[in-house]
Amino acid sequence: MTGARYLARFLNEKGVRQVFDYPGNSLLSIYPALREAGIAHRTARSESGAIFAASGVSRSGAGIGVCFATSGPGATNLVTGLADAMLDSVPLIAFTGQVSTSVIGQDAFQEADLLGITLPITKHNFLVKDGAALPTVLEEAWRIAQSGRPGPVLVDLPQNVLSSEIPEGAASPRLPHKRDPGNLAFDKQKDAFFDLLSRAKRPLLLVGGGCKSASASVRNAVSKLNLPAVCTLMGKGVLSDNDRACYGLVGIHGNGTANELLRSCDTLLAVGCRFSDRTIPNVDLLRGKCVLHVDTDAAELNKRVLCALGAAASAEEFFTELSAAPLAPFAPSWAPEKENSPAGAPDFCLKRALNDLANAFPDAIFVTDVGTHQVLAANAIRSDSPYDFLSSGGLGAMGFGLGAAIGAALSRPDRRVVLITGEGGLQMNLGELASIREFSLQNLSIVLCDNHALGLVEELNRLQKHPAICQNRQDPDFDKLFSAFSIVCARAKDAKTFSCALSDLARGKAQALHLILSPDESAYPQNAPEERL
Amino acid sequence: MTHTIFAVVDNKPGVVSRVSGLFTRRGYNIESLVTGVTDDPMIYKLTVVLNGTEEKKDLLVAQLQRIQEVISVSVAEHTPCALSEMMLLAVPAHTEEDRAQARAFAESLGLRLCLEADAVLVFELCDTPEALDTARSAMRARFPGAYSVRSGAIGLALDP
Ligand SMILES: Cc1ncc(C[n+]2csc(CCOP(=O)(O)OP(=O)(O)O)c2C)c(N)n1
Repeated sequence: MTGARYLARFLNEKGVRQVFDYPGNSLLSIYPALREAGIAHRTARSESGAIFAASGVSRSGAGIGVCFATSGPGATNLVTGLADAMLDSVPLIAFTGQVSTSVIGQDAFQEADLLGITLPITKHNFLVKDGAALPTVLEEAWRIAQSGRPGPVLVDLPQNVLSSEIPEGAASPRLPHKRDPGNLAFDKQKDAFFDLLSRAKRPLLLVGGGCKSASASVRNAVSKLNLPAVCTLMGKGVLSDNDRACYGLVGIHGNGTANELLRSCDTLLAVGCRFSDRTIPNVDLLRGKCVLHVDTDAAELNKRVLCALGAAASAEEFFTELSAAPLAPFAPSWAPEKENSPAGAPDFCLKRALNDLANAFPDAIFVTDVGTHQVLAANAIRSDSPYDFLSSGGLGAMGFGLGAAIGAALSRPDRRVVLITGEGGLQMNLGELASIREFSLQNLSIVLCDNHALGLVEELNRLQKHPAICQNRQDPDFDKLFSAFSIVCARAKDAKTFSCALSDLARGKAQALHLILSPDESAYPQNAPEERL
Repeated sequence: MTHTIFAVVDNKPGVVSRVSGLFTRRGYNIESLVTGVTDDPMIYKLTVVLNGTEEKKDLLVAQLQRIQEVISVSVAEHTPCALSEMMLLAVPAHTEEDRAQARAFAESLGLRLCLEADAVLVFELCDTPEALDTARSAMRARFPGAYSVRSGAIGLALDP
């Protein structure tokens, strides 16, 4: 069996039904092999679209997203998507074609050192120099992507390895030397941990993306202990936004109440988060508080914030122990009522529109791009599952939205997927609009928040009192553009047209909603400056 | 404060790039990194000498541990171990008298002559990093023109 066939059969055995790709010479042997294995290849309009789609698969909880790119320029187009998946701990596997082993290092046509380029932006990467190693590498790649703290894995496949015969019986993966740290350390610390927690007068739970797969256990512990909670962007939906104990997003882009809780708590229990500078812009904020940090990745402990006690344990292990611990529930919430946002906002603005959108699509998976619309959406959309709000958090990569929404829509055909994007981000991967028709994505709706500005950066720029960067940007006529891609678009420029257009979108009469907005709407969801961190 | 850290790693292509890349990327101040081959050709032992606080050292240990090829990490302070480093030190010496003096002094410090060229003598010393520091200071105090190069420390942790 050839390497290409072996790979396709492997993917099939792992339950992969579709992969995202962009073809090129070094990959040609893959296509017949995928066909034989019954795996659909979804050819995107660029490799960055393909990898964001793979990320959309993983982020929406539909298994491990897989993408293919050809050697050289195809592979280098994956860089942003890999860095994005790395920072947000998204499990995905990227396969790249590579020039044949006999010419590696000779600056061959379409040769690029992908191992070197992607070393710091993958959880791990492999260059397979010998077909006999392929079975082991594939098993390892699959394991590494999802074990412990998940992340992207890249497998670089020279053309001759794909066409070489894989020796029979090669599929006996050597057990890795590496031991998994496990929770031995936590077992020893458990008592001290719960003792510190029990002394809290004003405890607060900070839920990060590391809690995604432990949602039920987190909910159980929170309700048992009466523990108020805030979340990071990646932790959104672990607790339901409809839960009374969940105060939503904290940090630079968080809401005023959540930030106030963070400021006034005496004990902060942070689980599965890395204290990013978006969440805790200034670590002095935590001075004098008892910080208890739990993360499956020991390298996150004491990285940015020195904690009173840090434990390397998975969220599932931790919350299961927490629920079983002999802890009395905390006093009826010391935390105030949750605030309900768009009060006071103008009749027609992004904040209000997003609120109405959330009501019109109560069960949708929402995907955002990056910018003002992203921040406001993260606050307006009420998520009930950690796989229902997809956003590029750590990297903040514009162009993420459309690709990720396509991946989510394809892998979750049972769900409606709503993309919320700026006109800037949409244009970064515009070609992917063609994929919507290509893949007949009836379950994907697009909300284009057209403020005629690169809103978030222009706002930051204004705050620094600099003149505008992009005035009178000549954007295309988006209505005609959608129509060129066979996408029916409804347009709204005020409250009245908005309510019609939204109902067209909700009833499927339109697939896109083009909102004409003011360029000046702020990305800061806090109502007053003192609510900021 | 310097810390000496040992990492046992799988001998896979790129493993040293992964480790050294980590230092650059995360801004560690590394004094030396030595890759040591072992009796098992599939296993390397790396010795890292780091300049930094206790917290930085703990963080580096954790970050090393998450590299896939890293099998185990230990810290010299917590492990019985032998540490050794090599230094080559050159002393410019033009006359017979210069040479004799350099030789006598170096040998009194335990250095061994390993190369005698026209205008220079090269000595070698293999000892603990601290002993090398002492010998180098003494030689340079006596022969200001002396210059040296060091290999970086290697260690053998006596793992249980
Ligand atoms: C690839 C990339 N380039 C640049 C940026 C910097 N950036 C962050 S937000 C933003 C503006 C986005 O504008 P738009 O898509 O119109 O959304 P808005 O902020 O107006 O809602 C820019 C340029 C980025 N995050 N990603």
